[in-house]
Amino acid sequence: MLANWPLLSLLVWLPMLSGVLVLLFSGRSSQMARWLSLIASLAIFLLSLPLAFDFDVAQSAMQFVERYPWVPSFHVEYFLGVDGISMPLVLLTTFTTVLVVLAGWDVIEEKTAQYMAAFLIMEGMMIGTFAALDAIQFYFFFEGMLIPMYLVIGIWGGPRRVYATMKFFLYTFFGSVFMLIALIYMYFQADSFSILDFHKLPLNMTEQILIFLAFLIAFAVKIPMWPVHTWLPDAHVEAPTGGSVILAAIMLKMGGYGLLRFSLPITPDASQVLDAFMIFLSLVAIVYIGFVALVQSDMKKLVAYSSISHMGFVTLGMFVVFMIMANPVGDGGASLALEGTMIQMVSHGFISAAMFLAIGVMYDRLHSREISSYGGVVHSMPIFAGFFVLFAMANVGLPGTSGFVGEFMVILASYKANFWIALTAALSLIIGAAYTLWMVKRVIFGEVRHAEVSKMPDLNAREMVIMFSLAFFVILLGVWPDPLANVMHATIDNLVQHIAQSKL
Amino acid sequence: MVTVPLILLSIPAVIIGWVAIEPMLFGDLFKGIIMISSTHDVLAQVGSHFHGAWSFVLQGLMSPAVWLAAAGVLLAWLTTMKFPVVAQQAEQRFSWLNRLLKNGFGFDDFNKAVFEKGSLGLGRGLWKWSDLKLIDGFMVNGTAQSVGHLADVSRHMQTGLMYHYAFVMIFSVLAIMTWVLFF
Repeated sequence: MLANWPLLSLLVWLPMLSGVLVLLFSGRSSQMARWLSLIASLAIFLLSLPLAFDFDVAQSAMQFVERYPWVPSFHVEYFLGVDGISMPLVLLTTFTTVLVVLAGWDVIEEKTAQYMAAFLIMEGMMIGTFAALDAIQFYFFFEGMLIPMYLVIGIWGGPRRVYATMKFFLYTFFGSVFMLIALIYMYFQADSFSILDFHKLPLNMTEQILIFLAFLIAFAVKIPMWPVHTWLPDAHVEAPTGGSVILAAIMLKMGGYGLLRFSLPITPDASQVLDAFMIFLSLVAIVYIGFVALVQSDMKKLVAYSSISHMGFVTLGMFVVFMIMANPVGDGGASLALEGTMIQMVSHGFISAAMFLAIGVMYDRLHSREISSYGGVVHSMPIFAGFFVLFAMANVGLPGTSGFVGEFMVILASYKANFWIALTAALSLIIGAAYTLWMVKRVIFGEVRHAEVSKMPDLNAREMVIMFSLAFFVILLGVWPDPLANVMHATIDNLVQHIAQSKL
Repeated sequence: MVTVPLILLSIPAVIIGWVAIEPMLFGDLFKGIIMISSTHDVLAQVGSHFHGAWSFVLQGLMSPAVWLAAAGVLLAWLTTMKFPVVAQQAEQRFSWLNRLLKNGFGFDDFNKAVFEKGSLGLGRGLWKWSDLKLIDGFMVNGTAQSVGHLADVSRHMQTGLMYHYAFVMIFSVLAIMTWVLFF
């Protein structure tokens, strides 16, 4: 029935239209704005499900394609489509937005309509980024989503929100400028803004390296990679729970997605030449940031640093591919690395969202993010404690949870590239266990040190729904990652074949 | 409280072990499922001396490991329950050994001093010196401050005096002409 519908256009524009509609309730009924946002986000999530059900896993080409001229004089097109890389990220976006709307239900009392509208508009922008196949359209959505996030942190954020928003905006905007220059350069070479045309563009090594670096600045900031990561802890700490969830679960993935969609296929030779540099930065992120996470006293800051460390696996998986291809040991190492990268991105989406939402649950009750403010939470909130421990274990990478699958695949692939890379990456499992379980010990277990903690009520029905749905996916992906991996096989294999061929 | 469940668990454990030891360890139950290199096949070595569950148990009971373990239990019972004075005197005479054993050969102290304090020190150092001072303080906020200083200095160039602007223009034209003519 939905086969002939412009599904992607609906998924891009419906959230934005809903956002505008919700904005009409500004200053009127907050409850109406909440319900309208929930209905809209649920409808958009349901509408995104056919992307998964009708997706042809055997095909590596773009699916659900919509292509129309937009600015014909500059060959700018309205060009949307998804493949095995972008489709899971679109679904992750629609799912996460429902949770964010639910999470802000009772908590956001001021300017509720504007808050909900900002997230709905952001949802459309984020889906647009994942689905855009025209570079200008991609840039439009990639930059556009900064505005609602800027407002979310700036209006509903903590005491240092202005500093955090400025830092977030300038960092990410600075990175994107270089990407725009690279896109314009490629337009003059290809006479088209189609990303698929860019993939076929013959480029010499100097061009490739410059374009690679331009993309790297943009995407490294977004992921974020060391040493351009310091905006993220500040943004997370100051952002409201919903903002942190979207930042960690979706926005960071834009960086990883960008590298997969642009850097690897457009500049494969530069990626190969610079693979050691990228692997070094990834390992620094994994280990260095792990140690930094260990000494954080603010729970949100700790999880923010943990996110940077986990995203190190994403970039590691992408660039060990080139080492594996240079010295092939057995079959499938390159595909394993890239699939591990993708699974890690989706898994991190669920786990980081869960961690931030769990911290939000505690913050709503005690209005503190400091670890030292808690202790013995299990005595007053046993159900919450169960969920928190599960998500913490997933964050550590415990087998049976989604956190294990991606990291294991990337470590396994790294082993095929170089033993020492795999060993260094595997260190993160120990460091991750140290900072996460130490936090769990100090927050959840032990004696109740503050009287307020003993008065904290356990999860309400709304919070139970949020926690349960995330726990479901964390475990499902942990014990049965095959459906997700199947979606990616054809696309990843095609990408591996593409980057194995030199453009020189 | 746990005695009865433990007894109840031990009965099927003995029965299952008795029945399953031969097909599981030395039979074909895992054939084609678990692959063992012929050079590392310890179970095949043991299997060559296997003559049924009863003889296996008897053979096990006759091994030095079992007698040493039994002797350990007996010694512990004698020194702590029967003649506690022996344990007390041994504790006084070999206090250093007692301390060493109680502290687990000092591994816990070593782990605490090296791994725990070392990791926390490293993390604190990386965060405060690298993240906060070098990256945030010098590179990020430093850039912002430099732009501010540059703007502060350069705004003085805008004096509003016509002859200043005319001088800069004439000097610039002269510099460009020099560059074009002589370089």
